[in-house]
Amino acid sequence: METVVKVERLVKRYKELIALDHLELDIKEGEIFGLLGPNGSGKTTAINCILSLLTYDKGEISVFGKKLCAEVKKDIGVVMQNVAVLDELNVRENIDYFCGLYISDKALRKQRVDEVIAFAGLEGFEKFRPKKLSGGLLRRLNIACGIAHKPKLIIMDEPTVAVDPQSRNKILEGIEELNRQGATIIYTSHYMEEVEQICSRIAIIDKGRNIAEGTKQELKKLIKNTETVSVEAAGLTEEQLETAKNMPHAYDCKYDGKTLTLLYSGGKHNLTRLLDYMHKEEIPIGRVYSLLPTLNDVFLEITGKELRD
Amino acid sequence: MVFKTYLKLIPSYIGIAVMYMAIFSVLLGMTMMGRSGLNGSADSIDGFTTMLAVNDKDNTEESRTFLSYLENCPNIKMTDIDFDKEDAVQDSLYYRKAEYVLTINKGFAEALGTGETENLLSSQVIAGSASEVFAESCINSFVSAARLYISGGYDTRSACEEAAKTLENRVQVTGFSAKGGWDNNDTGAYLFYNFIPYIMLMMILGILVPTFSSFLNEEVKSRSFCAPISPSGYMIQIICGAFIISLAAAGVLLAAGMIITGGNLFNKHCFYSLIQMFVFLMFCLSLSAFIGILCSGTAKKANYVTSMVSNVLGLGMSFLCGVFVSQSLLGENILKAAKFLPAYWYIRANNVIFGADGAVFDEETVWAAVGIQALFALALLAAALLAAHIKRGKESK
Repeated sequence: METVVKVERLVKRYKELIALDHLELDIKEGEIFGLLGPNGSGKTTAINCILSLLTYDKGEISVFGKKLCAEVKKDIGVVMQNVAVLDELNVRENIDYFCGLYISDKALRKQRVDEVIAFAGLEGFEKFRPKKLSGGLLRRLNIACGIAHKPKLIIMDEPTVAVDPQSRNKILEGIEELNRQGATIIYTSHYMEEVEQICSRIAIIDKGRNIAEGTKQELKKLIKNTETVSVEAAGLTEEQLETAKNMPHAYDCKYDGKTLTLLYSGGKHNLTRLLDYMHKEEIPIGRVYSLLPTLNDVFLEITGKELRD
Repeated sequence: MVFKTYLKLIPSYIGIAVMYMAIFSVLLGMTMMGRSGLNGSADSIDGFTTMLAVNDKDNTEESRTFLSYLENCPNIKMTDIDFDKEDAVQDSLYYRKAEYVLTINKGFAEALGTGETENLLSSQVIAGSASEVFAESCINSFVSAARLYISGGYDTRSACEEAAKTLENRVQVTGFSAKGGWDNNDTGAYLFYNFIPYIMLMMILGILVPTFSSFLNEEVKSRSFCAPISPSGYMIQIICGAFIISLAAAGVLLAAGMIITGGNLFNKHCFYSLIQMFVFLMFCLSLSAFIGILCSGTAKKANYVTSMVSNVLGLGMSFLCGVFVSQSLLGENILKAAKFLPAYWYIRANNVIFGADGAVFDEETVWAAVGIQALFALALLAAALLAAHIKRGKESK
């Protein structure tokens, strides 16, 4: 696959603060590439550098194999983190304005605006001004303004911030649909669930550095934990706890007097084995959970802190 | 696209323009009516009279001549008071039956002949009133003229008669301009152009600052710069849009002025008026750009700042520079400070163009004033562009 965006050794400093520290990214055509990191990790700074909205101190950025120029910009759609619309214009006029920055042909523009209104589910709201729209609709308008000209590359900087779950799902479905239509998407977020749900490849960023990159599976393989089993069981004895701790593939055991949590690294049927033991010991049990590792676990294990700290 | 969309934003602020148009129309209409009511004719100043009551205690031929002179003084109206009553003088002054009560003291004729000044006349008056100034001017003129004749060898009686005769040929004070004079038709035009700094500033700031702020809002600007448009191209399109809107606003003002003044907007010097109206318009445009750029961080802030700044600047500049009050009535220090404001030069040029406020038409003075306004506009535009450049530099770092 062809490389769409290549970022090499990108360094950006704000006086003493190093916002981007030799950041490396290689985004291929047709991907939904997720930039995952906590607030202040450098995601938006990286995006702004790619879009030439920010100058940078060191490094190289190329988009479609070229330095960013007017010709390249024509194929890029941008959805900013903060809603960027003109309050004085209605929904249709706003989309028409941003689309008009790329497409001068009036008929083609009208067609694209109609298409994107339908795509974003904004029918019936065309004459509404942004202030009259709900948070979810406003976000959808923001997205519509960014993608109306049918770009090959869409950069979305936290497009679902402060959006209700229903609207969020609709937005995420829309992003997947855009990808199916052929667009390469760069998606930044600090919501790991979103990134896990839609991204084909993910870069985890912390303190301006790309600390891990790959598919969900590849990233999860980077860490020791493969399964976390929790069982509600009161009054376990020291001996029973010791046996649980020594279960095959278990590498950590936590017990708070109510719930036993075992962390496993590899192995199969770990939950069944534990339940068999508890049944044999006639230990009364409550709820049982088996959790596979998340990107948060990946982030936690690599950085020693939670994604949302 | 930026230019076209900029124009689309204007209907959102048309309410402001309509409001100021209404204020302007009322202001202009009422001032014109006020002027025509006060000066039914502009041929002479006859709208002002002083109610004068005289108690002649001397009762000589000289004092009677003096009394007769006062009766014939234009703008002085004699009124009778019963001086025998104790509180008559106070009552008449209080109820404005008389504004100036003059007593010709006993021995007036004799004292006038000997050049004595102490016991000649005495008066009771509403202190600080215009009537006091006006009546004393008439009285002093007679006494001075009579003394002049006495010192020239006339006896007191003849001197009084000659003084009265001489002063009877009063100068008719007529408002005029050096080239052709002031007529009723010019009043409307003069007032129209006089109020332009106030109304134009309020209108242009009211419309342009929020639109500048909307387009220069950080999010919208950044998003627009992601498209294939250069920052300078973006700025130029916005300024072009603002320029067109400013011209349209000026056109609407002129049309309203034509209606209110009954088509008497264009006098023989209207070329200068229109030129300086255009230059002042450019100043308003530059100022709008400057404020718009400075407060373009957030739209909410811009709306708040706009109304505050346009009110302070519009009203402040108008009062300081002589839009509402004639420059001739403003204090020296105020005028010194006002010289740093373009509206001062606008009003000054307007007075010169219309020969108002004691000014005489002089082309050089007009051009100098217009030039100063143009410099203000250029300086502000440069400051606005510099501010935009610095702001953009800061944002991209």
